Amino acid sequence: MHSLLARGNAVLAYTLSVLVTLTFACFLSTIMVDYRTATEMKTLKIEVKNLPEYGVSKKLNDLGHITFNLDTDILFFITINLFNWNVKQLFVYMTAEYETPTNELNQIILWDKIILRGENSNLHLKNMRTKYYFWDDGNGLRGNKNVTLTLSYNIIPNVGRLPIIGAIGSHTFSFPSQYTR
Amino acid sequence: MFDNLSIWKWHMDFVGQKHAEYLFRTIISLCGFVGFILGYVKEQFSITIGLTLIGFFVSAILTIPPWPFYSRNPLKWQKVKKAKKIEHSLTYDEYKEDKKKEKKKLK
Repeated sequence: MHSLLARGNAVLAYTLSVLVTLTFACFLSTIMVDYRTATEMKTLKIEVKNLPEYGVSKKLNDLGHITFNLDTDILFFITINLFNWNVKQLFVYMTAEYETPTNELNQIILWDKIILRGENSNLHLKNMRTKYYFWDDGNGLRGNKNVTLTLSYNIIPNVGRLPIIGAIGSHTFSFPSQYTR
Repeated sequence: MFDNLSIWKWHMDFVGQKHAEYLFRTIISLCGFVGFILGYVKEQFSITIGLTLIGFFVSAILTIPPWPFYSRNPLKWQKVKKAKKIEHSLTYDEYKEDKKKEKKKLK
């Protein structure tokens, strides 16, 4: 503390200690938050086509085509804001899960969205197309009776864990037994 | 580093150092605490960080430069005591000179 540099060092070091403490306190303040929300999904148009995916091979694969409605935060009709002071952004994604004779578990991400801070985290989407192709690696989609859509989101915080949270609620639909041309 | 630049007096006295340390610790801690509460209420962590940094700049301005009020209590040194005059002892050259003189006298 006697010289200019020693004083500068002391002030800077103390500031950094305080910042670290506050950041840790911020992490502790949100450690117990329950981020689960309810969601309601609905499929409107369901089609399945049999097409070659030329990027992979000339073999014919099943391509599903669905449109869907998506509503989040319908739990008790109270709108919940997922953004607290330790959430920078949400990465929301919709997964389709189904079983085929060749694979016990297939998971395909059909749609995703990045919700930034300041945007509304409640989604009310009508008649949405999927963002990514619903390709099966064979012919497992036609007539599949048990395809489940689930919504998950990844919370990107300022400090702390990077949790993946599954929304409560899912939607099960079946593909038609005829290919659409 | 700056110690050799004698135009400026960079040092604080001991009491001044104590005051400076107390001052910057109080300012930064207080800003951090208030910022934490404000950030929690407003749901915005950047408020917390920003307020702490404001505290840093304020305390840096207040305590890093050697403001005159940090050197109000200079050290009271003891007065210089009058030392007894020490008899001059011979250097080696003088000693040799003396020896030569003695030899000449003997001749």
